[in-house]
Amino acid sequence: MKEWPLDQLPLGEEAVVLRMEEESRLSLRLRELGITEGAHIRRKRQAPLGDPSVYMVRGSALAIRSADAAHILVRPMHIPVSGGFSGQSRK
Amino acid sequence: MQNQMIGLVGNPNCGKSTLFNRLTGARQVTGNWPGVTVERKEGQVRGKPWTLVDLPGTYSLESYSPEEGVTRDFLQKTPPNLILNIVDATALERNLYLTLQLLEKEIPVIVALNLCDQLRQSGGGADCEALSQRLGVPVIPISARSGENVDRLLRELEGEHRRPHPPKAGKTQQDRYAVIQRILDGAYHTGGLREDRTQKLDDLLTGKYLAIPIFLLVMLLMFSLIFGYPGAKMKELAEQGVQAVSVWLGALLEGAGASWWAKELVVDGIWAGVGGMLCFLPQMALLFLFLSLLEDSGYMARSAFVMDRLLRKAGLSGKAFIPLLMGFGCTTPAVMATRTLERERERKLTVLLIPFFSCGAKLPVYILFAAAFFPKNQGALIFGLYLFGVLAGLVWIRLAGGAYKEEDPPFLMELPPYRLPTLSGTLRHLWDKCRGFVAKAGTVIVLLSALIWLMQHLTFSLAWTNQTSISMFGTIGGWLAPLFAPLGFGNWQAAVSLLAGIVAKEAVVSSMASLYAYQNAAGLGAALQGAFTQASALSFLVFVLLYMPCVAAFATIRRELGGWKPAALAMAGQTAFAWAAAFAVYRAALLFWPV
Repeated sequence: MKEWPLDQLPLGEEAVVLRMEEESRLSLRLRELGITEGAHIRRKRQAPLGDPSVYMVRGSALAIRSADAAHILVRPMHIPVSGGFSGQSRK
Repeated sequence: MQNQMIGLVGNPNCGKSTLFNRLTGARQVTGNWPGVTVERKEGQVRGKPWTLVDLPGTYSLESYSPEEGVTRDFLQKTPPNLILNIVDATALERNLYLTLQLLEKEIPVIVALNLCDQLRQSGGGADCEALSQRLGVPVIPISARSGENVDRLLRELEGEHRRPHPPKAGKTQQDRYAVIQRILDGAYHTGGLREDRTQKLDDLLTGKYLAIPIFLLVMLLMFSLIFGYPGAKMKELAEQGVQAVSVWLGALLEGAGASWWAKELVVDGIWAGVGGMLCFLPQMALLFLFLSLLEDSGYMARSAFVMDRLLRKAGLSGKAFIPLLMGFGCTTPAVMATRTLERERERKLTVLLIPFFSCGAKLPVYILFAAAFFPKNQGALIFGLYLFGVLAGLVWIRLAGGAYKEEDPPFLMELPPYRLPTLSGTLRHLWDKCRGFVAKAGTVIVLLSALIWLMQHLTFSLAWTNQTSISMFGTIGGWLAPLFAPLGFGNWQAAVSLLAGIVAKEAVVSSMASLYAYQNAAGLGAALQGAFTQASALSFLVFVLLYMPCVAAFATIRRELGGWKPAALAMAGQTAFAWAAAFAVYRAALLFWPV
């Protein structure tokens, strides 16, 4: 199964968290906020200027910058029809 | 339970302040935690001999921001008799993460399940008995906002407390969340209705097309209420009040047979300083009101989300936008507004940057000089100055930012659900902030104003004088004048006007008017044309734009940077930077307009 960086997840799409690409202060904090292996995460919304995005996880909404979300690897629950890493928004 | 200390601990945005206010009422003491600019609050629980300490909101006791470090250190070094852990029932899974960590502390814990009413309204529910059994500590469903079940919480606080026997959990984050899921299984479910309302508002307020226009509109509204007619009118009324008191005070002293210098010292020195600070208060109160509403409603987090990208290159986040924009009005409230920034380094950088956003009081200087020296391009010149200030500020924080070594945690922000702010919470917040401003910044403003007044009226041989030129102020201006010669304006009048600008930027023009001995603007303009060239006028404007802000701003900056030393260094550094920029501008301008 392919790993996707979280920031490439199409808008509205839900995914399962697989792992963090690197260990950092941020990755610890993200796990504390519930982004742990197996957690469900949904990319809910993108800021008007393109970045950051809001992700729903364990009932709360977190704004994460794309550069940081790129280190979170996920598996989309429904592979989008268009596929790929285009990062295009889709409602 | 006698003379107990209770620590109030919870996630950010879970209603902790509301519960704190409900439990303590007016019996609160605010201060700062040692070493960090994080507010410390404690209060006595109504009718009980218990001290409740409001600890900064935290998601965890492990990774830390300065706020979170405060909570962790407090629990470790001065463990309270009891922890009151408030959790948000609408985001219970995440909130229980902190609860599990607290249970490991060997301190009795009581869990207050807040926002239960909202959970019910959104179609969710929680079985507190089951949760209590599984967590091993009492779980009381409450609504801090409506006061529902707060009596029951008080009774529970009064009872006997046992050390918790925490559910066995591994130490990794994943293990803890696995335990939380077992605890919640069958005892908790969320609705979904609440999310709908927040979602609809978010579609509008953070949507692709309307988010930025709406944000700018909110800022415009805030700006025009604080610095436009309503704020200006309130300020004017305050000034009239202060004026009336000073007339009354003068008459009183005269009637009591006080000597003329004593009367002047009290009326023009001390009272003018106190009054100057009081005149700030109405606009401050308006600003605090707005900030409190923006923060409590949840819009502040949205505006930070929307504007984040613009500020990232400067090492700031979207939250810095509001304080920076306020800087165009007045530096003092803008610096106070940085309290909304959670990250220490970002807050300090923002404090350093704000004085470069040209404040409203500098505008008369620009208008005077633009009319006298650049009549054809007044608008473009003034706009250019504002822009130049912002750009210079960005360069400045690149240069000076290295002095702040503490590293911020990476930007990450929760977007809490929209909530209607409560009247009592807003008023309480307003009162606390205004009181803090008067007590902390006010004292410094009054002291510095009195000192400067004395320097304007005393010579170095300590004789009274009404002639600025021979006062300490004028003498120092004379000493400083050669420093400004390389900038093209090495005359003592300019130096004294700049010194007066440290009292208040409005004083630059009024000093010039009295020193160049002309009353109306046209006459003053003509006099200035004799003292300045186009190049030196431009360099003077750049210096006024960039040099240190007034004493009121200095007092708030001192408070936010955490001491006299960093604040004085920042001011000296900024003034040196202003000198260098004015020098560069002057030399460049000489190429266009040779003397």
